Amino acid sequence: MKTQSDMTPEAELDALLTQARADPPLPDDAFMARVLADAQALQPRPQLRPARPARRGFWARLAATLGGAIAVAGLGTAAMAGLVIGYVQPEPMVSFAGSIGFGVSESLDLLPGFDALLSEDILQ
Amino acid sequence: MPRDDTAAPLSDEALLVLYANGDPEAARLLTRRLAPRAFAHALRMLADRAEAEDVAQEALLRLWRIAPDWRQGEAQVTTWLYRVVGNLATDRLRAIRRRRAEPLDDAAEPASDQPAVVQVMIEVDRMAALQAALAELPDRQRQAVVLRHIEGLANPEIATIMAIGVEAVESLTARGKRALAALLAGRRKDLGYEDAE
Repeated sequence: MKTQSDMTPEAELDALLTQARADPPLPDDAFMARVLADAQALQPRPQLRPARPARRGFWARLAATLGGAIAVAGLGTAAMAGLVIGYVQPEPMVSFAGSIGFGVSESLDLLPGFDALLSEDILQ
Repeated sequence: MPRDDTAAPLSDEALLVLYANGDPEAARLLTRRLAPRAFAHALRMLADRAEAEDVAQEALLRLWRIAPDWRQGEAQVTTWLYRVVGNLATDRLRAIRRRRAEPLDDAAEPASDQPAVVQVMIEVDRMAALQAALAELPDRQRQAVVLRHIEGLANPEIATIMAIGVEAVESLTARGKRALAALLAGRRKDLGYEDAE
């Protein structure tokens, strides 16, 4: 077995470097504690997520779209009034409609028959 | 729950991302992994424990500060750290030399006229001889030799750390090793190797 005195300077150096690699100098606990304290002091804090606003219900979103609760109330009132007027045909409204040329008709013929088209005048 | 760093260890980069996100376990693991390496490299460069601690702590302080802005995939964390430690150590050596205007390794010189002390060095502290020889190398040669032959890094990574080409790394390590061998050969008599039968 070779002793150190038999080794060439190069071999001795290689042995020393190998030993140095296998046996690195270790820091002491106080140094490690200082480094960890730095790390903790400079660590960014976790970002707290802002609380999501509670999801609003369908009616609340509809009211907001239409302009708020007051607008919805007005709209509802107008709709109800229209229904009542249309259903009961109150006398003042009927006479008013008649005075401006809209008489009350019992029936309305939206699709005329073909009789007029079959008259002789048109056929000739 | 503490993260197990042995079963499936996260990369340094992944831990740095966790650190930047505020994970306290990441701070502990990164410190445990990186602080000893930074310290050991600084000590090889500076041959002074207190100075090495200062340099390593400063390098890691910089790492903690840039963690939120770390650009993933650009460089390994250890490569960056070796580079910062190397630069800080070089700056520190220049400042020390300016202050003292004398070689750093005087304190580590073996006292050749005290055989008992030399014998202790032979048996117990051959590393001191290596450290003293390293301290006599030019800074760049010492950095290259330490990174290649003690830290065990590959030449391309050393080239990145030292901001030079791979050929320049090869040249520095070759010259550094030759000089180290010569320095150690010159110390063989002082260290008692010649008559250590």
